[in-house]
Amino acid sequence: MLKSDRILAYALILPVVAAVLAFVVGPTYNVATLSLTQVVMGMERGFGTLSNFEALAADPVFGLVLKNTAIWILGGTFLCVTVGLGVGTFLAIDSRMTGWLRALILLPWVLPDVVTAMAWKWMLHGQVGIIGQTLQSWGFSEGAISFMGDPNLVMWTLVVVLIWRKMPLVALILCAAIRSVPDDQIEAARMDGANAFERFRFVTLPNIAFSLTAVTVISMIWITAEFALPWIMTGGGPANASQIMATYIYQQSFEFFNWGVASAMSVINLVMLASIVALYLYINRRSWSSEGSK
Amino acid sequence: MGSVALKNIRKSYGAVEVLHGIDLDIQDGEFTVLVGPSGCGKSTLLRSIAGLETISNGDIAIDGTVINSLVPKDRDIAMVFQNYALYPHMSVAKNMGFSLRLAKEPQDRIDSKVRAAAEILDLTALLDRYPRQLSGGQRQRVAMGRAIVRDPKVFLFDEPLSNLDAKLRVQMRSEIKELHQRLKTTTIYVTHDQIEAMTMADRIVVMRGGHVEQIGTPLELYDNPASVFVAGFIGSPAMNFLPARNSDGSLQVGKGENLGPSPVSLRNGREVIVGFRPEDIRLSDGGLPAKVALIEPTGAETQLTLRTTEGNGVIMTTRERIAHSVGDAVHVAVTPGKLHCFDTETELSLTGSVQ
Repeated sequence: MLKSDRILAYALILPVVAAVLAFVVGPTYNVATLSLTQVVMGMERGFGTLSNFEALAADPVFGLVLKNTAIWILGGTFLCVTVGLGVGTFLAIDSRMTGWLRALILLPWVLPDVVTAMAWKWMLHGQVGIIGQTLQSWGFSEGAISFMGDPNLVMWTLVVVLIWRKMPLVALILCAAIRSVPDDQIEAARMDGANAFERFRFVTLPNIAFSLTAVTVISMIWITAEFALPWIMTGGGPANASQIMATYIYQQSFEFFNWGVASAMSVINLVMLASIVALYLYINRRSWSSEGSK
Repeated sequence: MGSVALKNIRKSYGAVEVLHGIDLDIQDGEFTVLVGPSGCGKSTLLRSIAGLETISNGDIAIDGTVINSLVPKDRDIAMVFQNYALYPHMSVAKNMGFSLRLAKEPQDRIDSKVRAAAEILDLTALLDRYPRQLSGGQRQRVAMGRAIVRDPKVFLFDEPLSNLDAKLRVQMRSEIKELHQRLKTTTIYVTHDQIEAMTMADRIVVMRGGHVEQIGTPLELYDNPASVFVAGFIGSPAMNFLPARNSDGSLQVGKGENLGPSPVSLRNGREVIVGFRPEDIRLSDGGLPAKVALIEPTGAETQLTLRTTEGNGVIMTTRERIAHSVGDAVHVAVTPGKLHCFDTETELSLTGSVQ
């Protein structure tokens, strides 16, 4: 390669490298160092300490945050994928109705996060929310239901709204995967004596396994990164009952200015996300290599 | 045991009828081939027998029992699909044993049945492999193994060889035929390839546009085609057809060149379509004048494309070496008794011996 070519090549990738350095590597490095720096009242007071992590370990709220985050991510992902699989299976049926529904189901996706959060917040309002009132008038509940005021209910209420918002795309992806299962395999299974459930279990599911794992990991990442929905709907309340990692980091840094502790949590969050992504890449690569010659 | 009787089978998709009343009786142990051009309804008919399609009218009976309303698995039928339809996530053994597993048979019985079928098909060494690790021919054999383990009354084959290359196709053709001779299971086989039909069938059902055109043994169809369509479809290269006229009991083409005596008695001056096979004509001193348009030697045989003075193409095959070259004027004569006569309007055979 000529020397001028090499210079040109470096010049061409420079913008991307610069952008990645400025917006990804730099902030990550910053957060990592900050997590090892003691910060008092927004002022840095000495680098090279694990006191932020120790503070987190001693923080009783952090335990609650971890538990809530587990409900949020694991419960959210599990429900998102199982409900999505059910809806996707239904949408995969050929009919005029499912054709329309396939288009309509994406509606929750076109709304901005903030609009979704505000709309649901009002619909779920303890006194004037339409959902609580309807349930009450149908006789499901004696008094008003405080969906977001009840510490035992609030996390699952958030998960339901999350599913409403995230499930449609999961359903569509799985619907597409199910529709691409070769017809003759399904027919062969019918000839082999498989009933509808057995055809789904032994033919459809193995055929869409790749899409299913991919969509599971992707939803996990989406849900981990989701911030606006819980923050606008509950702000982490009541009494931290719906505080999750994303909202707690935000609160600690931008409301309490505990930059160090917030950074420590960000690092923990990053490690969690990275391990999910690593799992995804591992599964991805494994299934590609096992495809082999087809 | 497995005789199949079809009575007045009709099938419509909305307003479009694709099967117009098919009647067919298949004896126990018979190898029947449904053949016809694409879109003739042969696959639809096969899928109706399998139960993968519901029929709009008529009765399908196996061993005298009408099975119209039974789901596929209760019909005691096994089917081999064109694309093999193997389950990609199951090993060969699992693929073959899947139906038995669904039927809740004990594992040791499944194993022994799978092993027995694998031995018949020479698949024993491949039982632990996955479909993606197999060649096309091996996959095809696994698909057959999946049918064999069930020991059904009837085997259905839906164009099973069309995804294989030419050499493998010939090999699998004889394997399927041998398998049938060994198992003696009633077999219905769909193909669009008339050579497959000719070589494998006990009886051929030629279909066209949702109708049965002719039913018969391969040689019956070859020697006594019931219509221009069957005559042209069975045999390769196809039968030659020329417009002809009856003149005092002999058939004349063009400007009065005599082809030979008519095989049937016709009104004098009647216009007909005359047909003769490429191997039933030879070069001679007199007869139909033509020009050599193309010479294609294949080694054992030479195929000549001739053009008559009216411009009609005539194909001739001969085992003799040809001394002529393209452009030569020649005369051809039809072997006596090898002329076929068809009605110009209906295109049906006028030869009485045909059903």
